[in-house]
Amino acid sequence: MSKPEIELMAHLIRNAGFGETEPELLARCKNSYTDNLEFLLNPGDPEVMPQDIILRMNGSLDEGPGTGASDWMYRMVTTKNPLEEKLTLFFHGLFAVAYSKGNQARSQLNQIDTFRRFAFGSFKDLLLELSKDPAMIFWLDNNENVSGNVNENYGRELLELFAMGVGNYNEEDVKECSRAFTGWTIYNMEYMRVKAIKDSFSPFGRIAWHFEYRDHEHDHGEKTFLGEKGKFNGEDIIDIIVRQPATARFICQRLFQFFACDKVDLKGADVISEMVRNYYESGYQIRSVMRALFSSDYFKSLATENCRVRNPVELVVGALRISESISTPSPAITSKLDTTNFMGQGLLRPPSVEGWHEAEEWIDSGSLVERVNFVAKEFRDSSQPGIKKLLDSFIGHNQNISSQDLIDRCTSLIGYVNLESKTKESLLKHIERKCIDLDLNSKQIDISQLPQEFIAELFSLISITPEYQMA
Amino acid sequence: MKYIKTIGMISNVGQGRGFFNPNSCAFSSSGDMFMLNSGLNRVTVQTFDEDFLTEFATWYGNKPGDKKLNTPTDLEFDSNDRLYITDEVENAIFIYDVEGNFIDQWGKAGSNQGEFNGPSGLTIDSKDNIYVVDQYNNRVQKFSKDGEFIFSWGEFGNNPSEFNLPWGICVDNSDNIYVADWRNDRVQKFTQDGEFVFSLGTTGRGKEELIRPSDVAVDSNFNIYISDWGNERVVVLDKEGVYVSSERGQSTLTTGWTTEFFESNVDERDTREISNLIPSLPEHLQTPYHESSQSEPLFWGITDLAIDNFDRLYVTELRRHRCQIYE
Repeated sequence: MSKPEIELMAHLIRNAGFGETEPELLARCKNSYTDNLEFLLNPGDPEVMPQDIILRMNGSLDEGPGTGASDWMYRMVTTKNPLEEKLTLFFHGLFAVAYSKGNQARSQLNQIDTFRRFAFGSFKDLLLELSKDPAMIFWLDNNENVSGNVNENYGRELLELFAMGVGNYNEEDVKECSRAFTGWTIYNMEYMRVKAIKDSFSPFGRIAWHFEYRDHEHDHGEKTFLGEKGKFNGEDIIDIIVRQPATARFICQRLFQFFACDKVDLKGADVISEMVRNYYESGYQIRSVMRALFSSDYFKSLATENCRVRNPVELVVGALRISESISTPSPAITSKLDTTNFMGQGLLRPPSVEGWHEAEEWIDSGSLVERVNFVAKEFRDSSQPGIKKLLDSFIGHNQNISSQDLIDRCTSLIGYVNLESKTKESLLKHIERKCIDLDLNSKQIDISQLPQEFIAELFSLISITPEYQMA
Repeated sequence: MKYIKTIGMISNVGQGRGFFNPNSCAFSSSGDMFMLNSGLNRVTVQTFDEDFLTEFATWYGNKPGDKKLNTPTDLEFDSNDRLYITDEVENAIFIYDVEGNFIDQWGKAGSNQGEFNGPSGLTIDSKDNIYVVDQYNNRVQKFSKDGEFIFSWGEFGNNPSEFNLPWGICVDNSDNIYVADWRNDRVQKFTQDGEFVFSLGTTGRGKEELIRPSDVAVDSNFNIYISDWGNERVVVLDKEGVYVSSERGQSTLTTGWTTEFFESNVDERDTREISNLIPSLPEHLQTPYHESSQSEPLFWGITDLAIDNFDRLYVTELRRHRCQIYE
């Protein structure tokens, strides 16, 4: 296969997944781009770290915010279905619910499961499940939303943040939407509410939540919503929402920005239009929308290369998948999770219902230090199985190569990182200095004479470049 | 199985009465209950009537010379009231007297004779020989009461006398050994010499099937109790291994600790009283794990079964921070 083919595969996996090493990319390239895309869109057995092993080694992992998130992190680090987890992460950011209010990590993980189950399916089904999700219901007070005493919190955010965006509905629509969701609550609501507010574990730990519809608390009257009239319940509202052009545009643009490019230019807008067309033609299927994005000439031309800041979770998970430093349940997972938090993206702990502020806002002076330190450490650690494998690929290659070739070799191994010439020049100077120290000819380096730690250091230096930190 | 009562309540401060992620209990000759807590490590001592007596081997170190635990998994008394505790990360056995004073420890990491790789279950026979489940080495090792290696059996596999991440272990009144062969979804019975007798269970959710059994106990009539961890239940078999019944759990509030908690937390008491704590669940949550996570009376995360001096069965639930007692 040609280098452009591998680079295209690397581009796909960096955006649809968490990035892969050269050997993994070469294995994928035995099949066509289209076949690989279909595999990502129609995942089979994820072969993730077995849940029984995680639970045995970690006890009550899903009781707290940090530990609950580690359950998910193990999954992201080991899954064979990276797009499935990436979409789940996308929906976690879009439909942001934080631990701080409900104190219910188990119910949040159930919500994450829901995002995973519906990740590729109909957006309509997903919004319906979201509206019945107990963690969301409690987060946005829909358990307080009863006939005659309407709470507009969920209805408002459903329209503003989850499905349509400001400017596509009016205040009356918010009120009517909220009326339609009266009576949508959680089972044993009164007791669960008291326990959540008091953050009470007693007497026997948390009790996870599930949905309850209380017909006697539902407003059965006629409603007018987005120009339509009827005795709407929540299902009818969702049905109306997903038909709106604003909804199609909203979800497609958010997906485009999460998976392709932070900013939308004119050509990007054309791709979004194509995604919208697929949204309607497929009956709101996310799978079709994603297929339209990744099949577009725009995406495949690499026009979107390095125009999206990797979010902290994908940065950390991507590095962990390459280093393979987490292959069994380990207390070390907690520090990895803490790192994503320090970078500004605590799993199960988004800052507000708006989710995380993404794109350039991932980078500030504090988070940048965290990002650089984390990846540098992971890639420099030659004792980690994944890094060792990459280093071993140099063994037996006794050939003399130039400094330039050495850089190309290293960038290819960790996922075909496309460095700019200025970055390459800095690395070249670094290699030359090292060659002087080791009394080697930098124009013809005998690889066997180069310490493996130095090659690992090159991986590490590449990982801290802007080109690696982007996708 | 007839439910008698529950002992326990969460104590996430890790001090005083209550449990936090309890994973094993044992009884001294005087009948006091010693509970090993794996969350904020410590051993708590209480009576059947929930009188809290003391604690030791605490995470915070409550007395000079107190021996702290790292990742404790099981505990058992010998005939001299010496308490043995396995620690799967320290790869060691810690020994305390009945007052909680640290006496000794032995064991180190490895796969040679007498070495451990994640020791989990532990049991002691009538002659005070000690049997330790050496989890990641997939074997059982037998030691004298002084910690001298006698012999071991088992290796990785699913044939008779082979194991896949074994967990709990017990001895019956004839000194036969039973091992919860966790990832093989079965319990194996051996003689005290390590000779295979029979195997119980196949993978599944049916009445004679098991998913990841964590522990096993045998009463004075040789009835066999298996904690069917993945099915969140206890399975009862007769001495021949024939199915008798199973139990999903029926915990009530305790007469002491939890009742007192609700006396001072009336908002929780009143709202709890109007709740249904065993609800019907949506289809996607109809698995034993989710049912137990949403239904407080049911077993959730059984890690240990123990028989007391009155032949009562104690079912320790790591995830519900309590012990349900049956006869």
